[in-house]
Amino acid sequence: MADRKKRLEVMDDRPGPMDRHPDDGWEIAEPFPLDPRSRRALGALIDALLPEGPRTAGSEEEIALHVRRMMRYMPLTTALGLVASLHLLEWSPLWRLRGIRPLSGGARGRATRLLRELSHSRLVPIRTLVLGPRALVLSTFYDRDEVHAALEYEPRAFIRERIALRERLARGENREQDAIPLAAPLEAAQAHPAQKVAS
Amino acid sequence: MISEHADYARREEQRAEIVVIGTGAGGAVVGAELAEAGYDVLFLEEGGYHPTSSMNPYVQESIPRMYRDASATIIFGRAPISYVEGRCVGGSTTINGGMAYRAPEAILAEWARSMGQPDLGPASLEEHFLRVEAATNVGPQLNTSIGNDSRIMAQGAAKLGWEYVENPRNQDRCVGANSCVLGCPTGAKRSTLVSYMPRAIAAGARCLTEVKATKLIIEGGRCVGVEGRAINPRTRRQDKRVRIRAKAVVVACGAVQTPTLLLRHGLGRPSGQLGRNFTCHPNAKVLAVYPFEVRAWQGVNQAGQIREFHDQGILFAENFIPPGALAANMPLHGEEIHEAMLDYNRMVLTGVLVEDSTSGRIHRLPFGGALPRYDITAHDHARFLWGVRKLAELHFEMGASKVYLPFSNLHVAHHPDELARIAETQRSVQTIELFTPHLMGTARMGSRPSESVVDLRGEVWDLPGCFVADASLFPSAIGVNPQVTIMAMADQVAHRMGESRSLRRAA
Repeated sequence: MADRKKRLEVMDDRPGPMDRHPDDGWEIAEPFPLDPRSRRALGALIDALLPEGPRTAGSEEEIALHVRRMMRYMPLTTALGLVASLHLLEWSPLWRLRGIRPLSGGARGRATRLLRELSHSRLVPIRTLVLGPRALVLSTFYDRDEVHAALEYEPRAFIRERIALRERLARGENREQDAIPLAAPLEAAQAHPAQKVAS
Repeated sequence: MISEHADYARREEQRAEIVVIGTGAGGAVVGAELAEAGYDVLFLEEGGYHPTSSMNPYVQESIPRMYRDASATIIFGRAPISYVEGRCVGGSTTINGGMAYRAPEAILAEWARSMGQPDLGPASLEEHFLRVEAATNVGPQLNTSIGNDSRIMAQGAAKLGWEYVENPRNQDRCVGANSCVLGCPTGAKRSTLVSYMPRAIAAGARCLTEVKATKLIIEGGRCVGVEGRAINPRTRRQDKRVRIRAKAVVVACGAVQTPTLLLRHGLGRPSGQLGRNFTCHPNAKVLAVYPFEVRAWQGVNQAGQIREFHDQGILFAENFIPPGALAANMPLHGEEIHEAMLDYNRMVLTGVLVEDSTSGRIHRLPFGGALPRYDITAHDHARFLWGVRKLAELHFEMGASKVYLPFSNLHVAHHPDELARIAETQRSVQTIELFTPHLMGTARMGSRPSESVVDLRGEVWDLPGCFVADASLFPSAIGVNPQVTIMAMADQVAHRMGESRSLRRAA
């Protein structure tokens, strides 16, 4: 709490450690309450939307928990609409005449294919049904450390380098080697041939 | 002093001379200027306070902290447009790309002409532009911050003979960390979080965060305060009542939330324009994949814009985003999305921005929510199709191996010849996927109550004591990033309020 008070008293622009859960006194919301059937539908949807790799043990549960936390930040009507879409998608095999078992009752491949079909529907409401849950699930999955590693994306190390550069610039050191490395095919051309600067 | 939910009593009562709702490009400027002029200013901010030291490059952390409704916001219409806006101290300036363009002179001259009022023209706004540009350190980028996606756009434009213009940005030694949209972690971007708000607080202003303004307090036909609800950060329930009495109220909640609050009181009657004239610069994304590593996440998020077609109301620009945000916007899942995302380091995300030729409307829902509506016109649709094709051609010209297109029924092209299919397949407006961060014009400023919602001081025609200072003031779309124009108009409103004799006397 002392930290919280200190944070609220001083306004400055100093960089921090860029931790995933910054210790700044801010609390993330509790998960949105879902009944067991809705949780099962969400679980099946997550399983169908995610790729096989690079999942880790427990990643699906963590993603489900985060999706439910995000729902707390939405207006209640939006969150309830999302719950309704979970159930509609869960029973999409039935209303798409693909069988009588829900998504959670069938194989993952079948669910993935059916969701693909829905997301390319000509009808906007059907496409929209997939859009919200897919955005929530995939944005969470592609924000995970093991997935970043698979994509060779390491923003923290890069930003730390840049913060050090900014400190050097403040000391008046402006070095050519601090430029972002040119992608090989671009080297032949002028690096940044701006024609004019907007006034 | 900054306060948050835990600091409030169950029924919190405060007084101030001026209460400002919102701390973004409009609210922070008005509040800081008035606080420095000696007024007792109190800010009301729906979001939380997240200093630079808490910024990090993780979507999961930053979206709930800083984006309205965790970014699940949509403009309904043909076609639906997803939009984003900030909900935190600094508002959208905390999460935008930091582009600092002035509204074009021709637009300002048109505002002055159509409203019959030179106060909205370029000459009158000049001093305000200069002030806000100085306060937020607007200038060109350092060469060391330019990344490969910007180089591709600049070189592609040069190859095709198109005009490419370097962006002016509100930054101080920006080194291209490219985390603008999740809050600048270096402190370089001069959002109002690190420019105007510290000035306001140093001048004695108070800021109540985590409070949603729910209604204005109106007595004797005059606005004398605001009532709000404090949001419990764990449950997100509005569980405490906050009342602030003031001599004047400045509403600066943005072009969607400002009319929603004012509509609760049935305002805007003289013209019937409140909530109307909603414009949003819709844009469509074109994502190119190159056969070499671009690492677009390294380098400033947008170094310049292709303005060759600006007289047709079309801009092209790059704007790279973290993988979590990118994956959420791709029409793929399962193994397909992962196969695509494995190319993340070879991707360049660009957009076609189209200046509105029409406008929409903000409706207020029965329980206080906002319902934005906007239908793009056939003319705008045609400009999108043309713009997407041209931008995709630039990428193929620069050697892209594949381009993802913003159409639900045609989302990838592997060769420039395939772009001809755009015209064949895109007959309906419903298949285009649109997005916007620019929301404008729902409480237009003007010199006649029959045509506008607020007067030239920003005061609502039919509610004395209530002022507006945000993008809602725009009489029309401006065709460029609106931040600096919002700030300049807010600066003008602040100075006129400061000069107001009645306000002075009250203070």
